Order: sequence, then C-alpha cells, then structure tokens
Amino acid sequence: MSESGRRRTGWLVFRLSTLELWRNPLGLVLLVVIPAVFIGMILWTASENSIPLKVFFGDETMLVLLTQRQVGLVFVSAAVSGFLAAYYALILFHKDFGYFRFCVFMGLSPTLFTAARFAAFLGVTALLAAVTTFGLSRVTPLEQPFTVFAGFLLITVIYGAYGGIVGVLSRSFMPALLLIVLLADLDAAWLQNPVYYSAAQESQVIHWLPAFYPCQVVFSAAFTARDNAAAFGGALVWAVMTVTLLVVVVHFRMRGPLSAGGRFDQ
Amino acid sequence: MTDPHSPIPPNAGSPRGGFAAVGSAERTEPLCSAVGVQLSYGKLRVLDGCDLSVFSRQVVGLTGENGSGKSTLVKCLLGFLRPTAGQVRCDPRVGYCPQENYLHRSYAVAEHLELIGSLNRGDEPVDAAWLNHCVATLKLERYLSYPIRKLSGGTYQKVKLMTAIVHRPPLLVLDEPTDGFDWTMYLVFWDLIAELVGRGTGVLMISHLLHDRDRFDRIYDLRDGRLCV
Repeated sequence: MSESGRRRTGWLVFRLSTLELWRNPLGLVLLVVIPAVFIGMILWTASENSIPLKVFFGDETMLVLLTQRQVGLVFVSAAVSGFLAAYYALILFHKDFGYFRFCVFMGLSPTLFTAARFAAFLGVTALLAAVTTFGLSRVTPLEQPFTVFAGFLLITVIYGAYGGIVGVLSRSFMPALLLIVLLADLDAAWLQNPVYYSAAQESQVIHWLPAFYPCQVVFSAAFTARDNAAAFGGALVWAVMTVTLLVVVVHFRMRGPLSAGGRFDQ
Repeated sequence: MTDPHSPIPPNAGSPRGGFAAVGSAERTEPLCSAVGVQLSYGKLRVLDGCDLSVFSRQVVGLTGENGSGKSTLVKCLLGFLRPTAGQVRCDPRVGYCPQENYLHRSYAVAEHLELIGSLNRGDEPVDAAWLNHCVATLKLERYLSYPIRKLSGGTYQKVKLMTAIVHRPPLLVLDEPTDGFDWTMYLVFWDLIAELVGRGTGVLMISHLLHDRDRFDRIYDLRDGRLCV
C-alpha cells in the first residue's frame, strides 16, 4: 500500500475509533457522572481547615499548608482522570478486538492500527485533562494551570496505556474492568492521597507506583510556583514505558496466531 | 476416487452448477493448498494429515460432523492457526467469511464496507459498480446506515458475506455462509457465487447442505482428522 493509501486508511481507523467512543453511551454517562459525584462529595463534605502536606521535589520534600477542600479537589480530579482514561482505553483496545485481528488479516497494518487508535485515545485524554483542569480552576485557584494540565495528561496517558494493556490481554470485559478499578483504587485513589502519603511509614513504596510522579506534578503545579523537573521526568518515563508496553502487547496479539479454538470473537 | 494430490482439479471446467470453463493457465497453480497438515491441541489431534487444494473457477466444499475440525483446517490454510506439521499456501488476496460473528457492533454497515474495502484494494478504489451490484443483490441498501448490533441474523450474515466479496477476490473462503438466509436469499447467494466463479474466483466453502452437492466441483469430507474426497 502506498503512503497516501496508508494515510487514508489510518484516518479512517482514527475516525471510526473516535466515533466508537462517542457511540458508547455508558462512557459518556460516566464522563459526566463520575466527576460530578466525586467533586460534589468533596465540596459537600470537606472543610476549610488547613493541613500540612508533603510535596515531592526529587531530592527534597516541601511542606505546603493547604485546606482539606483544596487537597480533596485536586486529588480526586487526578484519581478520576486516571480511572476514566483507563476505562476508555479498555473500550478501544478490548471490545471487538477480534474484528481488528480480522482487519489485520485483510491487510491492516498493526502499526497503523495502534497509531490511529492511540491518536484517538490521546485526543480523548487531552480533552479529559483539559476539562478537568478547567473545572478545577473554577473551584480552586491553580498556581500553574498549564503544568497542572500536563500532569493530568500524563496521568491519563499512563493509566490509559495500562487500561489498553489489560484490555488487550484479557479475554473478557469484567475481569479487565475489575483489574483497572483495583489499580486505580489502590494507587491513584488511595496511596497517592496526599494526606495518606504525607504520613506514610514507607513512602518509598508509593514512589514506585505509576500515579506517583504525575500526581506530584499536579500537586506541585497546583499549589506552588516551583518547577518540579524530578516528578515531571519520572512521569515521562512511566508514560513512555507503559505506552511502549501497550504497543508491544498490541503487536503481539495482532500478529500472533489465534488461541486454541481459533475464534475471532474471543 | 479422485487423487487429492493431483495438481489438476478433477472437475475444473465442468459445466456443473453452470460455472464457466477453466483456462489451462489457471489450472496449474492452486489458489490455496494444504499438504499433510496436522494440528493438535495438547493430546487431542484435530487434523491428521490433510491434503486439499482450490483452483481458479472451482467451487470446493468441505463437510464433516460438528467439531470435526473444518473451521480449524480453514484457519490453518489462512494462517490464523499454525499447523503442528505440514505445509499450507494461500493467495493473500483472499476474501474470508468466518463462521463466528466478528463484526464490530458499533460500526454501521457502510463503515464496515468502507474499511474492509480500503484494506483489500490498497491504492485502488473499490469498484463502485460491483459494490452497488452486490448491495442491491443482497438487498442491503436500507441497512447501510444501521449499526451492526441492530441487524437481524440473516442480514448480519449478508454483511459478513459482503465484506468477503467487496474486493472481488481471486479466492473466496466461506465458513457456513448461508446460515440464517431465507430460501430466496439462498438462491441469490448461489447466483453471486456463480458470477464470481465466472470471473475466475476459486471458492472453498464449509457447508452441511449435502443436498446441494451438484453445485460443487469437489467435496472434501473431514472425518477423524483426515480428508476424503
């Protein structure tokens, strides 16, 4: 196939992938309901009392005095972005995956498929990160809104790649969804909670989790005027690692022979 | 009994089923072939030395009991499954209609045809006249904007068939393609096959409809992992 033919097919797969997300009613409902419920609960329950919290800056740690509401809003936004990104990636890389294996047999390049699918996914994550940053800036002041956006984008890319990997490797939807909820809950929605992290007995373990660095990018940019190159670099490494793993896994599943029974719908 | 290893299809060019005669150049190279194909799942040997070939303008049937390994053999031929032993060869421009319902549920019929058409034709546009002819023949016009999940079983089957023939392939592999068709559509299906065969296509079809033996140039029966002609 010539370059123009590849471009045409790539654009077609990208367009269909975007439409696929748009046509998923549950995904659209979750996009509104989950942030509304979580942020609503924070606004309803969190106080304006101040708490001293640790923010990671590489070799040093800064103590920042923040209200419970500020902390809750930023932390919950990060956790919700991660979960939603993983869920959308699961839709893109799990549902009807057999159909795309068939398309590869019919001549679709796995690289083109992954690139077009990932471009559609990045579009969604960028939108999600932009909406989250904008929504957050309406309810709490942000010191560096563009860096906060970058932090949310990194969370969505890392968790999206994780959702894609789980989606490609899992045979059925429910276990895949449970795996996503499990990690999102354990990491982004619990251990990365600044209140928990600041008082943690073994914080080094928390550093090894995928949401740590992007969450620190978001916290430092939201509440301080300092650059956080260490957290940004760490988050970039995680993003590159997870995206690379996703590409490898997609190629492996697309190109490899079918499993025993050899069905496209499994 | 016909020799299944013979490079010349025994019924090639026969007027059975009203298909056109085969040219001598088309006889020599099979569009797809399997030689001594074996496949095991653990200790279970599904295929035990299968030999099969399909030539241009030939309609070849593949029958056998449920679970005898017909679809598995076809998937070996097409490269979806790796045989434990033996050799397979297949024209890459194949049109394939698998048995399972694999179509993307949220795409519309027209979107499916656009995507599959763009893949098969590469840089050449899909022949619009042929596409329209097939859509009209299979009575799919009113369903073009329907998402796949809203189609009935028979219409779904028609779309599966369309995705296999949209690029007018030289080799067509169909796995129980008439499931869910009413009688009229069944006859229309055979007219389309005759039209494709007339243009040089070779067809390999898994089917249980033994009362239609006359439509085939050759029928392989898969029993205990082995093929009999």
